[in-house]
Amino acid sequence: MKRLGFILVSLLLCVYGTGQEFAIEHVIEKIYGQLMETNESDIDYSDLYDELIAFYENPINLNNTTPDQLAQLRFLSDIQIENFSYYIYKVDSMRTIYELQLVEGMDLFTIQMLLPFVTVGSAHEAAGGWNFRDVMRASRHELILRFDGTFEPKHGYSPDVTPSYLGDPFYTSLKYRLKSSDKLQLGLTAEKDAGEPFYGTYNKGYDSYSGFLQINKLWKFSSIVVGDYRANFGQGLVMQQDMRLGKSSLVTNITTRSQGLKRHASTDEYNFFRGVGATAEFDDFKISAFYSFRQMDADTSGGSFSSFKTDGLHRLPTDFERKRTVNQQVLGGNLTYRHRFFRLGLTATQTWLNTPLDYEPNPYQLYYFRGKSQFAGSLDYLFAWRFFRFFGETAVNDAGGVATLNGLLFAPVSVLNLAVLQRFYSKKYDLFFSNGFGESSRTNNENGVYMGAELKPVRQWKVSAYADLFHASWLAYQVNKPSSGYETLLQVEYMPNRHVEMYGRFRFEQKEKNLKLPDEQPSTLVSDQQKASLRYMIAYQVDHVSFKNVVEWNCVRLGAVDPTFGFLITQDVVYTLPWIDLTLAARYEFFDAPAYENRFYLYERDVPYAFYTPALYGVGNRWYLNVDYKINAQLRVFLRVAQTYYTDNRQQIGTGGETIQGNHRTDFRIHLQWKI
Amino acid sequence: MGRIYLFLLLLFWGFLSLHAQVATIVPSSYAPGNAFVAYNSDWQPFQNPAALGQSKNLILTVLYENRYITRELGNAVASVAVPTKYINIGASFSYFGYASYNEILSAITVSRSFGEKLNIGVEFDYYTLYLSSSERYRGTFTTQVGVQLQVLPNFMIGINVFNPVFSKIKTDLLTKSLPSVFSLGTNYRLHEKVSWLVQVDKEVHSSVRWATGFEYAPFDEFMVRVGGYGSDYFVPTLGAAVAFDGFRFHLHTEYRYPLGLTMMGVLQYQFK
Repeated sequence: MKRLGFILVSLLLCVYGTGQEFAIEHVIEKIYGQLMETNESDIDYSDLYDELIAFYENPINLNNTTPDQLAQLRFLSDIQIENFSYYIYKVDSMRTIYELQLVEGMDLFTIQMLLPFVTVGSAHEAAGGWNFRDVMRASRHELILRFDGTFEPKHGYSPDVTPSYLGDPFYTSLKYRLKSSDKLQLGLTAEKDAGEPFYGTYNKGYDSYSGFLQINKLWKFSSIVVGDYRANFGQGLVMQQDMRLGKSSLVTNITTRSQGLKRHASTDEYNFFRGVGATAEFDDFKISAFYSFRQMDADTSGGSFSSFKTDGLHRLPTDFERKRTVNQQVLGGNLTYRHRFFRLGLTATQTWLNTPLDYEPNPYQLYYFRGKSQFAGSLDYLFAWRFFRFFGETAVNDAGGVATLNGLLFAPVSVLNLAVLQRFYSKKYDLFFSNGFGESSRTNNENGVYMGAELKPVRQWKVSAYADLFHASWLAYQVNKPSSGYETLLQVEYMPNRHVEMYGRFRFEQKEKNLKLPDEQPSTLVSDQQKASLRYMIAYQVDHVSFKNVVEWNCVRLGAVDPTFGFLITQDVVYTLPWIDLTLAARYEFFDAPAYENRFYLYERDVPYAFYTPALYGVGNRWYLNVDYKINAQLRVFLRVAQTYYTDNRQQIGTGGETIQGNHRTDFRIHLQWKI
Repeated sequence: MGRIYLFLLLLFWGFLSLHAQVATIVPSSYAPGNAFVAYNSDWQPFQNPAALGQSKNLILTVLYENRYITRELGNAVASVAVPTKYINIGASFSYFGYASYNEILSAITVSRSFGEKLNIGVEFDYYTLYLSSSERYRGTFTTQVGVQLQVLPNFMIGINVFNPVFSKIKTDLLTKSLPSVFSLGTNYRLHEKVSWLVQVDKEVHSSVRWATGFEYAPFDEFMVRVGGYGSDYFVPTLGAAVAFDGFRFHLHTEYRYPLGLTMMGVLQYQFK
């Protein structure tokens, strides 16, 4: 009766609340913002974008979904997914989307993000068998063309430079996708970066090609992947090629979400496997096996190589000398047993190289993997009991290294979520494909404890906080001694109504770093580096116009050196013209970051599948304008122009071949998307 | 000798003005604490052009500002605001300085109110600088864009960008850049009679300025304003306004140590 009453009230509220909500792009932007804004490394988010857009176009039926499917919406916490599953179990099926407010722990902020990706449909939709003709009939095709460039000439293209770039200064890519519900996906991608030759002595056609075929739900096979794919198992200590959920303002979302094998659809030229893989399910068991053979880029001129070339750029003759010089074979598998309350998994991988990897003799790299063969195995678990969820993974490699990660999620009351995570990665534990939770981008030489708490004291407010303490028992990059540090975050969010949201965020980090002497001379001194940042964001919408402002201040101090202060202020405007399917999105920002450590990262709305988040440092302003025009139901065009203008009297921007003479840089992108 | 001291004072004051994110030629705002960007009670010449969007009547304004009780550091401004059916139009003129050094700023402001929540304004400015008897006047165009938005019934946001195009005056001997300033502010109505304004400004070459102030209107005919702003040091402000019939008189003062007092008087007449 209470539920029926709630539904009636909700429907009445819907009638009054028919104003436009934030657009899907804003929701995606928010998700990215929360996942990436404390992550300053260059991560390929295009797979995440792909998943979110797929769910937007084919929303998840909440009455006929699985926890695994919901877990792909990475802003949902494990506890929220669990509570939702329990709610469905209790009520059998939802009658309206507004019932989400009845799910314990499902707050206004999460519902706002969730709404574009879910729907309420029949609880008993027929799964349907694998019939080739039906699958082809349901197939959708998509063709994407992209063309990028920079207006200002770059040094590397000048004929006076030796060696100069071999190709033209434009980036082009072509993507074809075939998708048939959740049964079949096929894709081909061809790409040429700026400076790479399209056709010539070194190259015939595009510089890079990739492709995949993924078949799902065929007989016992939940997925079969041929071509380019990614593998993710456990908590990522052995195998995690997708982006990991690290420290973010979603403070209790710390478990790894991507599980199993899935196609590699982005233009990332490094982080994927090429071969074949399959996952089969037998009752409560799930078995995955995969094999990959790739030719990687590296400088093998001395009979060994010190690192893979990961940028995928082939612009100079030396780049081509390093192209596809190392054969890499990977064989791996995973066995998972699922019970109603727990999950256990075993993962093993073996990697072979035909040329030995041998790092430079830097002390901090002493324990890094060297050689031609690498093996690792792990055991992972997930166990749910009442308000608790225990999870973890323990792994070993053939060098005797051990890595273990163990965590607990706890929701004592619906307005409070707690998370604790402990990890220990020994210095000898160094794997190619590990990507576990941690401070360092490398899953080794780290010991730490993370604690997160999320409190929703009243409906429109949310308070999130985390603290992470970490220690490295050996030297690390730019730290010439064993070191320690900690990081804290406090965020207060307020959403007075569906059209206005704001948050204030404070973040403080202290870690040890080599002290740079004023004359740039090498130093053996290590000192504490402290960085504090304070951000206020407000987003609001009036009819077809939405606005967003961010004001951020930061302060960095290394040792006894005087602190440096950074400041950023931005204005975003998005205007949707309702009568011609045209959306204009613009940003104007001022930044003042006197030192590189004061730099700012702020997500920028871009053309689909493009993720360029510039590190803003120096003094100047930046603006961009994006145009999104839907010509008809099939054809859509995106245009983008962005300029960074420095006012700190610099005479040039960039380094090496990317150097631009002058104080401004202007980029453009053209993106065409054709769907049938 | 007096002129040399005055010139040095002018240079110093110009430097401080830059720190205060205010173009030399642009007079101070009588908004509390100089936090003008989300101040929507009146449109003030050369301040946020969006505020013009809600003018309902023809308004004439004359303003005189004197800095540090120095006759040569005076700024005289006249403006008119004309509401029309679709857009509101403003025209402003400002003269600063004296015969051998002066700056003139002329502006046409166009603003529109979109519903009751959103005001957008654009200002086209022409700045003129008298350099010397031989070089005479040099001028350049620039713009100013502003938005004021009623986000919640008691909460307004204001945004203003002055000179986003980085206009400058170049001669053989000098390059004078007009300040490019990005301002963001809020106006929170704490009570029917009390408003609290907060603002941050960033001039592209200078450090951040913050400003805050309160406006208290015990009666419709009288209001008091108190506040302050600062970048490297704090500048307190105090002001008041009285209104009768169509007339309104504003008095605004600032105290900047060690230079002294800045005073501004504004007389407005609003046609009914």
